[in-house]
Amino acid sequence: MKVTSPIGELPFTVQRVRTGGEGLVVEGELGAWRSRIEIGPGDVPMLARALRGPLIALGVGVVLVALTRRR
Amino acid sequence: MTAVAVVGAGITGLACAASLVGESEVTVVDRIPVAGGVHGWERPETERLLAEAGGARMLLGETAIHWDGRELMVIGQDGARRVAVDALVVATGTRPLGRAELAIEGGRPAGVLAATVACHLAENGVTCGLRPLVYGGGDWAARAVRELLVAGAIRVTVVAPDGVHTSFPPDGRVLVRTGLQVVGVTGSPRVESVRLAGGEEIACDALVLGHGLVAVRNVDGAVWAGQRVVFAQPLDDPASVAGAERVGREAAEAVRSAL
Amino acid sequence: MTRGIYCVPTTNQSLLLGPTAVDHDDRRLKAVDAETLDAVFAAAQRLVPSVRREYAIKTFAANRPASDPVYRVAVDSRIENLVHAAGIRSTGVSSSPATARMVRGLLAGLGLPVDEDRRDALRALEPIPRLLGHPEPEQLFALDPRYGQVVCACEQVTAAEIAAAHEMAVPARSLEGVRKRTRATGGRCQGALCMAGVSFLHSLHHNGPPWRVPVSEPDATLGVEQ
Repeated sequence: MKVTSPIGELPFTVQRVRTGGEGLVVEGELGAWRSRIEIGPGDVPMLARALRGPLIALGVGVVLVALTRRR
Repeated sequence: MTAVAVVGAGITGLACAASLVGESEVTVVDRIPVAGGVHGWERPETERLLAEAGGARMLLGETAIHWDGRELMVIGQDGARRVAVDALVVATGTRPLGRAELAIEGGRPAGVLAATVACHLAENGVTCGLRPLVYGGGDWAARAVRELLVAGAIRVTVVAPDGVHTSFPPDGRVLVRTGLQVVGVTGSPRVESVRLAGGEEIACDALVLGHGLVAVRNVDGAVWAGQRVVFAQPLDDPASVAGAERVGREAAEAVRSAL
Repeated sequence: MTRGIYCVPTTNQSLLLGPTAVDHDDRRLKAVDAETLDAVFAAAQRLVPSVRREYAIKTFAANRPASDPVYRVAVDSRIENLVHAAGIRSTGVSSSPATARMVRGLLAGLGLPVDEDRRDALRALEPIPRLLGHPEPEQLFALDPRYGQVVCACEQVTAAEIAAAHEMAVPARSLEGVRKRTRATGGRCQGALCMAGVSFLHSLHHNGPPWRVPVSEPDATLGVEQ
């Protein structure tokens, strides 16, 4: 994964996803910096809106793959 | 065994570390949390040199602030470290000349930015100007032109006092003028025009300073000179990875002679 | 006029050469010009021959109120609840405690309760510990882990100090404000390496898009609207 920041583009690697805080905690590293993303119930509407398009595309992709596998 | 600290994990610093790692305890420090410096962490050369410098202790995302001839003070996410070494290599790269260094007259209106700043802002979606003027004809100027266009510039004027040293891809939105010098800015609260030597005025809403290169010196005690310090900062423009690696290896040789 | 051109060691471990002083009437005029800078440098070099022009990191001009007569510390002649403490050339800082006592006397003369006990009154701005020159940086880190994140390397300014500059009693409201409180962007590279980072940190407290971050006055914005 890559993240852009005011000091440039950095690699983000996920090490662990756990429950904690308000909901989900993604523990990782931004380059050598320890980094943490906390996703709570308040973030769900924003995520749902943002992921709507990609999720539909993902759903279509999964159906297509399933159809091709069946042959 | 001798110990060496290298500040800067770009190509130059990594090459120096790689050369010394068999014979000294090497610590590499960089304030950015990835190696590669201005050439980037995804370059194959960065990966190759990182592998070659595999025995070095890497302190990435930590900032070296002070050298007293024996100890390097480094600040990071786990606090302060004192790294005791026999020699320091400063491989902290370069930056374009600033306003005072360029002797640009005028007030201090908004919109006058170092090319490094304009690029970082533009990469993060900030429109620095719709009609910016980029000063310089080398790497930083070319990169600024690219980023400013992506971030919303309608028209970019490039003023390259020493001519163009690098490729500016042809683009109808970019006008390149060579052999001219910026001597002043006017406008308030934002820059409205720059004045060239000879009197011509060019209208702009941002002035991006990407001309010339000077070594970055921000380790106290190793600014103009220092005890047991080797400076390894290539000033080539355009910069080359091969050139940076060569300077790093030469610095390692200088450290060997000194120790 | 001023007392002349000096070489002034500042509390920021830098050296200030100057100033000149020119009376004019355009408050927006804050331009430096080559001829004046050359004269300033030449005068400074007569005082300290070893000073070098290539060490200069910044040149600037600014305005201060000039009036005749000077030292206008008095109640306004027409507006009864307006007290002036202005027109104090050159000696503004050194005379400020005495000026403050004089103003207090004027306010007492107007009938204000200057002897009232206000326990919650802020008498001085809370000092922000600086990493620069600190003998025990480890202690700072224990105070606030953000002392472990250097943002401005030239002046050794950490994220803790920049955050404090936005949370203090008179918070920073522009990049110049951040610079004056912390020194961030005021060092050798003049923000070439850190100004983007400082702008984004400021924009977290600024309540607006990053392009609108004020560099100095509110309409002197970092970027432009797309």
